[in-house]
Amino acid sequence: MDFDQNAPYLYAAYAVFLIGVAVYLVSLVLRQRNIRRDEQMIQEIEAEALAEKSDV
Amino acid sequence: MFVVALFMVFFIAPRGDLRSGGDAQRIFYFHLSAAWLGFGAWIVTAVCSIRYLKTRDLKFDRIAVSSAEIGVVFLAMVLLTGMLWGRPTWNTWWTWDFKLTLSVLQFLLYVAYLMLRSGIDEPDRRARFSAVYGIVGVLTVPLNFLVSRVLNSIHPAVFGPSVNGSAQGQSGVAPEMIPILIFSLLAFSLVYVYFVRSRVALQERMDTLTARRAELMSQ
Repeated sequence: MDFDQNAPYLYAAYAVFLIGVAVYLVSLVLRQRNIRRDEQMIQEIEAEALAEKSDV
Repeated sequence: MFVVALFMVFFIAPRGDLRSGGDAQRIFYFHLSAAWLGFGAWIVTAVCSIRYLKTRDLKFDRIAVSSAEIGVVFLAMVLLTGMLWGRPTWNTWWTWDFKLTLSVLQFLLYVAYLMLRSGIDEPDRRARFSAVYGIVGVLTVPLNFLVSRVLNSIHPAVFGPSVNGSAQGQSGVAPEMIPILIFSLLAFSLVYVYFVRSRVALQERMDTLTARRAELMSQ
């Protein structure tokens, strides 16, 4: 199919949509990963605190 | 569904006439879908804000902030793709027209909502303040909808009557465009629902983590 001389604007616009959705998706994944890491860290600290308490 | 919608836009949708930008007119399908969901996101934020103020249940606050954040993404897409469509149609990237200015204002209000939240640590206070802001902010939605119908605006009103004599670009929707528009809207709605659900789950974990951290610090 042939596109006219305004096709570059069309491609750019749909690139904006795809990049927008992809960037938000990546941001969600990264934030989930950070939270998982923080949860693990807190779990470790809690376990250490519990161990210290039982030692005392 | 998103991919199918893209295929329909590129290979099935009719080409617009030169007045509406020729092939650039195909931007319309996703531009309008993103705009409607950008507005819809504010409405969801406002409704959940009202529910929060009534019940003080933080679940509604989580939905409100999630919806607002996704609204920022969608409105940013609307503004950028509007510029890309405006260049071949209006021969300018941007003009300080009522509708366009109001859209920027709406985007900035969304950003300010998120900034307001990040500035308050105490969860209940943060939820209360942002709920009030969310309810006030939703007033821009009917304003934005009406502005191209009531005032002289370069931006065409897609549906409904308009007194607008200076709109530049095709405003009518041909019957063969409607199924593609509905499909695009459906695809965007699914993306919105998926994003809101994921973001709400994320916010829930963040809140739990903050509470656990505070508990740990107090020991």
